[in-house]
Amino acid sequence: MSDSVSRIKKSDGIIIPEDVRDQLLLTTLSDDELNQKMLGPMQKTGPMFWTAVVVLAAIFAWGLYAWGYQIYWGFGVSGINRPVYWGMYITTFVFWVGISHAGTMISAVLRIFKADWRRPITRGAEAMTAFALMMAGLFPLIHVGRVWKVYWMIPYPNNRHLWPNFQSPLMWDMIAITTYLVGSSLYLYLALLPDLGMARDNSTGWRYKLYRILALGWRGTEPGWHKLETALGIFAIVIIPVFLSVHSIVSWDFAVTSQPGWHSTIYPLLFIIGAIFSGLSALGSILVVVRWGMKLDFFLRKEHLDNVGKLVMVAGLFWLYIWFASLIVNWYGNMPVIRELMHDEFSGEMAPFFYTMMIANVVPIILLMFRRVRRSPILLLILTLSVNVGMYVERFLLVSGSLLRNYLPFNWGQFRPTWVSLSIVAMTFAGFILFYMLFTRLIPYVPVWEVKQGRLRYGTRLVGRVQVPTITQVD
Amino acid sequence: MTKTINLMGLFDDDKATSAALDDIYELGVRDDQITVISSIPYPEQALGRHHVWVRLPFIVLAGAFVGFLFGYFLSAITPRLYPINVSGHPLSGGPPAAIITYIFTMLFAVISTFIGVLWEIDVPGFEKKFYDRKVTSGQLAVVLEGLPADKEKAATAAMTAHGGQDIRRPEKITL
Repeated sequence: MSDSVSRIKKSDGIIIPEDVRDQLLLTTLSDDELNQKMLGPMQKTGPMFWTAVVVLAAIFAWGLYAWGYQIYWGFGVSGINRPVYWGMYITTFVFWVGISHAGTMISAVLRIFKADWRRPITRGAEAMTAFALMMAGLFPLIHVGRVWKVYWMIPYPNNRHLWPNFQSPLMWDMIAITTYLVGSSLYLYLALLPDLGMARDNSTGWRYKLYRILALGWRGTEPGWHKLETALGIFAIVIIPVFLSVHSIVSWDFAVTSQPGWHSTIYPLLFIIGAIFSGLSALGSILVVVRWGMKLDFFLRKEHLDNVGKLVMVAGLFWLYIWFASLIVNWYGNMPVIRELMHDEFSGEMAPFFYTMMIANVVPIILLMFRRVRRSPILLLILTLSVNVGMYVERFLLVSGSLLRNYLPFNWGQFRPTWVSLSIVAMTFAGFILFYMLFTRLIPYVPVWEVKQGRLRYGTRLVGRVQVPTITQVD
Repeated sequence: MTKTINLMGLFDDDKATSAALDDIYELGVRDDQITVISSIPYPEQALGRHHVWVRLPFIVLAGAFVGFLFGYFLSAITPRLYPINVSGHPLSGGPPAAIITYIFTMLFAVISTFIGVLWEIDVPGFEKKFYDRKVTSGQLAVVLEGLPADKEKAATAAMTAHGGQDIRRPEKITL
């Protein structure tokens, strides 16, 4: 007997499996109650919330100081030196771009496939994309060193005949990330309009003024809805190739060079799959924390955690496969410098990082195969955080680890991050969490209109004695 | 000249709304005089309204085409206007130009989708409009604009017969 049927409720001989009873889209709450279930927690901020805000803001401010210190004293204080020219900054940049990928994955891909379980979690995922890209976007500014000259990358006619080199992958990077940030932010905002209208109608004071401006006068007329849905459909289709191209381009920053370990055709695939793996894991962690912090158990149920856990597991298996495909080719190629890099990872000075990566990534993949694990918020939190530690280390090994060795052995070296680079990296983590926390209290975290719309699609019917959910094709 | 009025009624569900709209159409009220406001999207024509013409896909295609031209101009034309000689490399290469052109095509497609839909749904618009805040509580509002005054009674009766509530001559409110 399956797990779900073993825990049933009998009522007049009808069997209602627990899975069916617990489905969000079968809720019988009124629209008003649903509105309040979302708006209520947004206005509750206890001492714990403000303590976290102060601590995160302090870390962020310290990071800004470190950045200022670096600007004043020069780039050398970051610890970046020959041969590791791309250290913590580019590692963290790749990590944040990776995190941003789950938003599109969850929102756009699942929207196209009409996966209804996505409904309450799409906004959280889209917001994660936007904030992660903001943090990623800081690193090119930080990494150029002379940040005040960054406008030289903008193509505009000038009397010095400075013109961006469009053959440079760094130029592709800037344009691709800007495109993805613009696309993700507009996608997030567009789907927000109806909920901002709902928040406006149920608010007073400064919140009313804020939502009134942000809602842009949204009413919810029939043509308005129809056009909005058309636009969201177009966005979902357009944003997917953008999201695939962004991480491909980030990987080409590395792969188009002749650096050993980087020059590989499998890099775009490894980056994309790794990005989805780490992004979905970050989403899993965030959902558990927001669910606990805002008491959103009503919207973010175990069915959603379960499904996110499944996606993390599947993405993890793909990542493992691509990683192994990359390894086996390098292994049999047996090029001296690659052999040295692999030796460093398996039994040399990078071995602690390598084994951390493998354990932190592979153990969650195995454990997430179990339904009970996926449905346990605390276990899901621990495992998804573990994946993100693993994926950060993976990026570190790819970016900085590979640079330790090259074709000229006299040019081999070491890398030690300094307090400056670590502070700046910490700044982006604190900034991400801080902005995300403030977002959850200002903007309806759950797309309430999508949940209400989902209810229109969902119902139940009897198959024999068992009540099963049915989906009506209404959109 | 016939005197016209505006009329608004609230309904609890979609079936009652569509039934009331059928009766209102029979009074000779045109589609462009009727506005249905709801808190969720309903399938097209579910409420008995006519097909909504959406220009958005054409706007997006036009935007993408402009982006394509702009991207191609930047990546393949401008390097010849501002030549940078890098150890004998060609001034512009096909694959890098393809990447830049592709990204700008997508960027302009995204931006034109956003601007296009805002233009199509007529926002931002902060002027006073016919609206009822009970819509966010799940009710559907039917607004009849420019209704001949002599049809007010019949329209009110049509709404009442299908469970219409709070039927009134509405005031425009600030959203």
